[in-house]
Amino acid sequence: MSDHSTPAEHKHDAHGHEGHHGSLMSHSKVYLIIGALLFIFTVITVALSYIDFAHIGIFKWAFGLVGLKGDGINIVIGLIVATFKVCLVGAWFMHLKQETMQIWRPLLFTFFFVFALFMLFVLAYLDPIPSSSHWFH
Amino acid sequence: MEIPYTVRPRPDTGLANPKLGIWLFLASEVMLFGGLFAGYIFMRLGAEPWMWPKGWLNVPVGTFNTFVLILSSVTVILAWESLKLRNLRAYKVWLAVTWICGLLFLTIKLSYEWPAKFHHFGAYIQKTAAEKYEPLLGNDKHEGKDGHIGRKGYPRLFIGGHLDLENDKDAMKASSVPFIPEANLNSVLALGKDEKDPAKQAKLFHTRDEMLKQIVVREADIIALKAPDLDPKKKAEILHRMNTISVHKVDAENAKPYDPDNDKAHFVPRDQVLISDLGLKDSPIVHSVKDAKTGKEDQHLIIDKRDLVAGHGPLVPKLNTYLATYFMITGLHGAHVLAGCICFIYFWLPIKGGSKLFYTNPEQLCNRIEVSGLFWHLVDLIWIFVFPIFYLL
Repeated sequence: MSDHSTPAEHKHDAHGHEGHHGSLMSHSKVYLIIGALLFIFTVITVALSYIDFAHIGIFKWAFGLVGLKGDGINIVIGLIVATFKVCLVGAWFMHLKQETMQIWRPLLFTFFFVFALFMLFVLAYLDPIPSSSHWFH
Repeated sequence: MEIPYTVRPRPDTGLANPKLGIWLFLASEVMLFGGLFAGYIFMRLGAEPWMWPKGWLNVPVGTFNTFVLILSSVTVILAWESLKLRNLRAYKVWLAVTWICGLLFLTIKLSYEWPAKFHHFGAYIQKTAAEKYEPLLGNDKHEGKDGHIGRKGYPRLFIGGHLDLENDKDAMKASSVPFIPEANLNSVLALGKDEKDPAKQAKLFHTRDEMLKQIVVREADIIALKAPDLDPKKKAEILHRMNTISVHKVDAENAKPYDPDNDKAHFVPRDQVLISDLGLKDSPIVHSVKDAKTGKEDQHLIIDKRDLVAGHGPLVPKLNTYLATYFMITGLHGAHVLAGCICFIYFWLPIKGGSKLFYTNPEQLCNRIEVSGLFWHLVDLIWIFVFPIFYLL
């Protein structure tokens, strides 16, 4: 193997990257905190789904401004919480926080195209032929 | 063969090859699931609000599975960190917890969540026939709350329930076979009857038997229909059995249509209501059926297949777009969980490519866990979206 080296050498490498022992230990604390946050936000997601936002005046009004009503409000709120959870996983568990541009560059392309995919449905509302789209009228 | 740069960064990319490789793979995975989610968005927005089912999945079970996946995401990173600290014992413990969590997730899916759908029954009543089922649907008296999507102006047309699988083992097949008019049955039965050439007749008889197997549910009924002296009364009885669905429990959402609390989104699995508890004794759609084992009289709802929209039967992907997208996305996600578990078990076992690698090249083992861990986090990440869109919203 071209990577052959003694464990001791690697140990040194690892420390060079992560600093001394103490900071590595504190990393596991960070992971546990992020894990706990994910648990809490899962509970929040479930709890929010029991609230009917379409019946709460302020939400009805605010989301109505962008044309959302009924279940659409709950869905958008649920997806915002899910996106936040995904950011936690990506930033800390997948170490995207400290990743180089070499990793970020292809990912930025991916995010762009996935966002484009998610927004494709907007085309359905530009369709000149009346369709069965209920959420925005 | 020695593969270069498995551990050390390549000078030109500044990264070890596996790291760059797994990120490119994860990017393509994001596109794959992104396409499926985009398909989901189209189908959901295009569906009539009252046609998109709610509360079909068990939220407590789904929440538990979410916790299991999050826990495994934490433990896989702790396993990686233990390796970085050169602690083999801690690594083995954390990784074991990870793959056990993965297998637990899959067990719950395979033993409970997915099969449960196959034991349910669901059908959309045709609008023209809704009146007949009005006692169950309750559209005449029902007033949806204003601003609440889905109900006002939209008739309830879906009947969901449980078939009597204990006493009628053919009930599941019977619920999926389409309506067969008597004329069609007659033309099947006439196949080969007047054929003189024995070779041709044998061929036609074979076709007839195959067709009967498709449309007639019970073995005994097929034999009875083929008998030369078929009693018209007997034939009518068999036809009735072929063309109706006997339901002994129905889902509460439709069964209590006048309950105002019933008119909102449901997030727990629907309770089942016995037909006999609905007070529909004199209704023409309710029949008394004798329980084969106990001999007790039981009330069954008899649904005529002519009154149903073509797709009906167990809650399988073909029933509606919700189930099609649900099985597609959770199935593919489940396959990813399985793949992750296989990798982790391989890296955990005391074999050359597994935990024994610790003694020869611990940094490479560390990299393997980092790369498979990144894959595992993506699996968790996809579930974070799957859980709310299918279970909650």
